[in-house]
Amino acid sequence: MELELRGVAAVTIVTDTFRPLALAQARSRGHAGLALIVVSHPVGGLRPDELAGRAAEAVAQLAPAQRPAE
Amino acid sequence: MSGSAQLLELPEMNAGGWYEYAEERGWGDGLPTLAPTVESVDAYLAEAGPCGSAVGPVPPSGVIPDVRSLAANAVMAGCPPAAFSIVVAALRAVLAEEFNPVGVMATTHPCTPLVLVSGAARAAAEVNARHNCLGQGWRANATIGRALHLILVNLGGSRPGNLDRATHGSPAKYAYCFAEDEETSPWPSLAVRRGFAPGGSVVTVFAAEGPHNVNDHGSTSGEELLVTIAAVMATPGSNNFYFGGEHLVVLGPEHAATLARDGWEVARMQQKLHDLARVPQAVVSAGKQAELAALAVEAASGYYRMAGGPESIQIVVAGGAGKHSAWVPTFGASRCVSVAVEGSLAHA
Repeated sequence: MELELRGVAAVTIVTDTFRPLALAQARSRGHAGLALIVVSHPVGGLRPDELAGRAAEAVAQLAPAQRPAE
Repeated sequence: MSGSAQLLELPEMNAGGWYEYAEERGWGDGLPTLAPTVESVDAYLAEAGPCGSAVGPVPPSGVIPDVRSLAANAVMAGCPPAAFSIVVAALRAVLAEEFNPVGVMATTHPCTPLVLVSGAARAAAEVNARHNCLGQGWRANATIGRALHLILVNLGGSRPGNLDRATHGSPAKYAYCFAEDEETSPWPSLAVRRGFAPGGSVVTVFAAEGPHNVNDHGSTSGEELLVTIAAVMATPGSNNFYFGGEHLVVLGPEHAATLARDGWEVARMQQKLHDLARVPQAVVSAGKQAELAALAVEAASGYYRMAGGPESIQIVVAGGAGKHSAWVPTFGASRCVSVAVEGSLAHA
């Protein structure tokens, strides 16, 4: 959010549980249009294969041009 | 103060009706509140007198409160007008950047602002520093903490499950306020040690968990007591284990007297507790050790030290008779903040 406010294109990744908090923060900082990538909660405490699933969720929400090369 | 309170037209209702009405709208903490009518808020502010300089905005909503909004919440909490400038000072401290109010109010950790009152305001507002000072049954302690929490909920919007993401929370979130027993303490008050003039009214806020008891009826020397207190502090489940941040050690007066008798001063107690509060590597899981390594926290000689230096261990004296002290861990991603109480209690 701070990067975006400084004019640097950035995407904030949040879990679905924390999406309302992220939106409230964005509104209170005058950045209601903040781009969010929302992944399933939680991200912490996962096995590597579970974490890879979260990463896949995140990548799928990027525009094709933003996705890393296969 | 800037901002303007919004007046609401409500239907006629009795006290029970108000309780139901407010709870349905999320304007409270689950316990009954008093209705903040125009008349009650006006009378409250007239009795409270000057209450200090501007505060706000209150996160996460960003609302800049009018003094009438603050007073309305103090009325709802049952806070005595004589204590209102302590509430305003506590809010000003909570809103300081180093306190990290957004993080404190939104975190999954069970922290909440703990209000510690030092100096002349303690007597003027009748804040309890002795028996059961962290418990129930004393109006100023109960309602200063409650008023602050209601302000953060009703104006800041930090409601459980919404913007307050606490996993369990804590009973301390209803109200958390006590005073230093400066008359019993063998050492200068925390406020004086933090640079304020003796006797001046000061509020210090900590992003605190509830208190953890330190029972020690067996130790007969100050050094032995510090061994027990350090052992209570040394737990891998605490945020202070790896995040740093302050520990608050509330010495009961009997433990304090033993320590003072044996010549312990505050700085030496801080150093000793820091040296003794070590977590055996053997009780830290492999996964947690990996997490610590990623944060550049390493064990030495089979032990982890608690993060934060000796100066992060804040020591005060409070409580009644008995061989108990309390350790209050904190959020870690927050620093305690002290501010002078302004207005009518500044030099009470």
